[in-house]
Amino acid sequence: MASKLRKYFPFFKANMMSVLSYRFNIVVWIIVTALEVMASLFLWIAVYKSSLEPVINGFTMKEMITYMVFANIFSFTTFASGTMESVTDDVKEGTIAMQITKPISYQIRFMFTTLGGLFIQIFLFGFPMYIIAYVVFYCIGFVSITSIYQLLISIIIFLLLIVISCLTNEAISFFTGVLTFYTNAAFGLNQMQQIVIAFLSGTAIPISFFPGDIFKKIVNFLPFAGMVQNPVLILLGKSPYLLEGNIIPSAYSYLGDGLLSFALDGIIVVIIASFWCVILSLFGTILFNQAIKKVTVHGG
Amino acid sequence: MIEVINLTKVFRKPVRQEGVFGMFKTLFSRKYEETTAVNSINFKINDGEIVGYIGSNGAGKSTTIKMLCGILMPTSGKVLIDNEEPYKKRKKIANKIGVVFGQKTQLWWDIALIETFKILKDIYQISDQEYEERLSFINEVLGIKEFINQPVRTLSLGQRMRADLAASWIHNPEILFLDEPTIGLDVLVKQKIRDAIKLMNEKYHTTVILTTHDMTDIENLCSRVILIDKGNIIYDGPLSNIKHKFGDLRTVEIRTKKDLDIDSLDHFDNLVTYTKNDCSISISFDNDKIKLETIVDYAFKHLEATDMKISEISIEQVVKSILAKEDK
Amino acid sequence: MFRYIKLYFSYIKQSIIGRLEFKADLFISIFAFFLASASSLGTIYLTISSVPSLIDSNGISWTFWEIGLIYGFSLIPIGLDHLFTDELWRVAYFRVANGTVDRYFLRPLPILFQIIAERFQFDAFGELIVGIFLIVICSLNTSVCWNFQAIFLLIVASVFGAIIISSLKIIFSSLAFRFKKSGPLLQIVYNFRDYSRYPINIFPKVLQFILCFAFPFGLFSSLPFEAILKGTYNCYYLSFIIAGVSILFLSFSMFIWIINIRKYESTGS
Repeated sequence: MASKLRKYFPFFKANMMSVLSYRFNIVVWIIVTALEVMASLFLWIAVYKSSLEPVINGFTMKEMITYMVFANIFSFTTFASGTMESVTDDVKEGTIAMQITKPISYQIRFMFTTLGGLFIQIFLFGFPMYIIAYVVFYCIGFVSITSIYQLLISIIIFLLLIVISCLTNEAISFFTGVLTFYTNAAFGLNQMQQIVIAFLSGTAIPISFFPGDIFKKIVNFLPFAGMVQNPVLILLGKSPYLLEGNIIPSAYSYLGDGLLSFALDGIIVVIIASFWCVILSLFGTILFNQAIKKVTVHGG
Repeated sequence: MIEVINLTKVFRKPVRQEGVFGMFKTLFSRKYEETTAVNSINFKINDGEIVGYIGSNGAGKSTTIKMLCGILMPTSGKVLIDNEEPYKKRKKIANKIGVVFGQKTQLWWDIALIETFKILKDIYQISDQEYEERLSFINEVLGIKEFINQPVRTLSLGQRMRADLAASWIHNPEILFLDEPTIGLDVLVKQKIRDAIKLMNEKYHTTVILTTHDMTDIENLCSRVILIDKGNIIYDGPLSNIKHKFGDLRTVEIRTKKDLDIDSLDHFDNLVTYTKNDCSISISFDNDKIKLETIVDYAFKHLEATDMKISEISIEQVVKSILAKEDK
Repeated sequence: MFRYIKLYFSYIKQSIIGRLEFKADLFISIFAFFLASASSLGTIYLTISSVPSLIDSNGISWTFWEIGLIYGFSLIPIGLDHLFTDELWRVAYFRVANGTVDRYFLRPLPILFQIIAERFQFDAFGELIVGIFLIVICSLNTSVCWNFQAIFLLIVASVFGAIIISSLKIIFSSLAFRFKKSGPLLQIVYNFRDYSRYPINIFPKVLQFILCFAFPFGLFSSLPFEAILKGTYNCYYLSFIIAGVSILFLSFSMFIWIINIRKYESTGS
């Protein structure tokens, strides 16, 4: 198995080096994103000051600020897949036929390429930012830790979810990339994909703020919720299933407050996220295989 | 008239350091590396001349051209075009010059070639009559009518170079600066371009300064040649003289029986330069310094020559050997 | 002067012809912008809908529609600037570094004119359309009274606001002529425009000052609506200030531009 995967390693390494060489650009974009986030934070502060209740849709002001910061760090460091553009280029230039003849899986090769880049984004940028942010927020009392075990569980589940989220985003990118094979409309599609994911994943605003009970439930059902909102909430020690609009009953309602409930909820988050990840990857594989059939039939 | 007086250009580059820490060190350090690209050169070019400006890569050709055009400021010295300095009177000089950079185009990329000409007509305020006249002249000498309605990005290299030359000339500039205009082109297109340049010079009295690596360009077009090496001018004069100035240079092409060990030629103590091919050797030498008989004799005795051809040296060889000499 | 106008149209023609080659591209990019705006506004809506109205630090209360009005309007000066000066981005990011700006120095026209005329960015119409649409829709839901002074203020704020944005772009892109690349810095400064979407009073005083005088994105976007909707300022007085700041910025930007152009050294062999 390891030897089978070894042939993909060059793709991993190549993209890793490439992203590393762009580290200056990444820092600039971090500053740019930070400015944006800061603007929305001021808006939130104003909202909470204007509110009669200290808790809005399940979040206190401190929780909201912490959430927004982490959600944006998460989104920034995890959603960096260039797969959609690469597949689109292959489709446009017609080189997709060439790729099929190679003895490696098209989909897996992109997966490793993306992971290479993400390796840098997450380790070089993500982790330092997470740690600094967590420490700062803890010191100013925005984040509370009920026990060392809770922190451990939070971190472990969070790390797992980072991986799953990256892979899910990759699966979606691959899928949309192959989609351009059928639709021939690539430009702008990538932008739209990012906007949609950002909105539905809870990066812009937690899902409990969405209007309408049914709408909340639908959005929570989609894979996007597990891509940003849920991991961040787990890290901050909150169970996402305690918020309004969930379709999964929280373990808290059965076992009451406590570490076990939190852990169980966390595990369910992981299971659902993994489920979506696999399903979406399979969608991509199936669509790709159909596309190939089309190419070979036409003698591309 | 173009005058270059003690023109010097020194480039200062910060010494870059390796790695992440190096990156920061570079930002704050004051260590600079200085390269003198052009070293106090002097020359005068009169109206109507076609001058070849040659030298090896990195010799300072492009740097000089850029200073002549006004897009690079001299470190010291002056450039005068009709008694004005190009970088000081940029717009005024721009009306008088046309430039072609071999590797970069000045045409508008996404639209038909004819549109570029239309915009240039407005920019240079060319009258309708002059515009029509010149456009037909261009078409006569460069044959661009066949692709004038195609977007520039779809043109082949040969077509694009012809188009760039046409666009640089449409406003009938007094001076044309051509920086490697024939690079990468096939023989036929090269000839077309050379003929066009010659005609422009003959009919419209355009002064042309041409940098190129192709000696045939020089032989075809230039009455005068300026040879620059490592920022210094080592020759400035008529083309015909260059062959004689550096000695009575000849080339002997020798066909040998078999592949031979070349070291034996070192016997001649660096008085010759040679190139070796499969079963032949081409030897260049200065007849003033070492007699033809010696070479021929050696060829038959030690190189097992089966055939020989003696010719006057080509410009290429001249330049090569001049530059080789300079290296020592 | 008229020659330049005529020349500008000559240049624009080429932008139009070139852009029409990629029609589908244009529509999709405009649509993508619609989507991005919808997402932004949707987020703001959901944020504010949890409270009856937003009360800023000066005690002024804002409804969602009033904020939407600020948001929509902010797109107008941004769109106007985008329409004309888009090429400055490319110059700042890579065109100085790869030498493709040389051609500007070889033509008998001012460099800035050539760069601005080079590209008439149609995509900006997306911003203008969305902006106007939002202004109309949001107006219907607020008690705004469109009297002469309000309209006058808006026109001044649109035009002179666009000039302020262009001036900032000119200043920071001119640095590229000196340092080869200034794209990232320009990007950071430009992104202060995110702050022009909100009532300026929700920000701390320091930031407010920056947004009025250093990167005046708040000056021409939020303040006009405080004047129109809340009567905090006199419309004519504010128009005068906006125009004044704008002209100051423009003059300063021209000065900086010329200084940096002089430092241009062509790259490459």
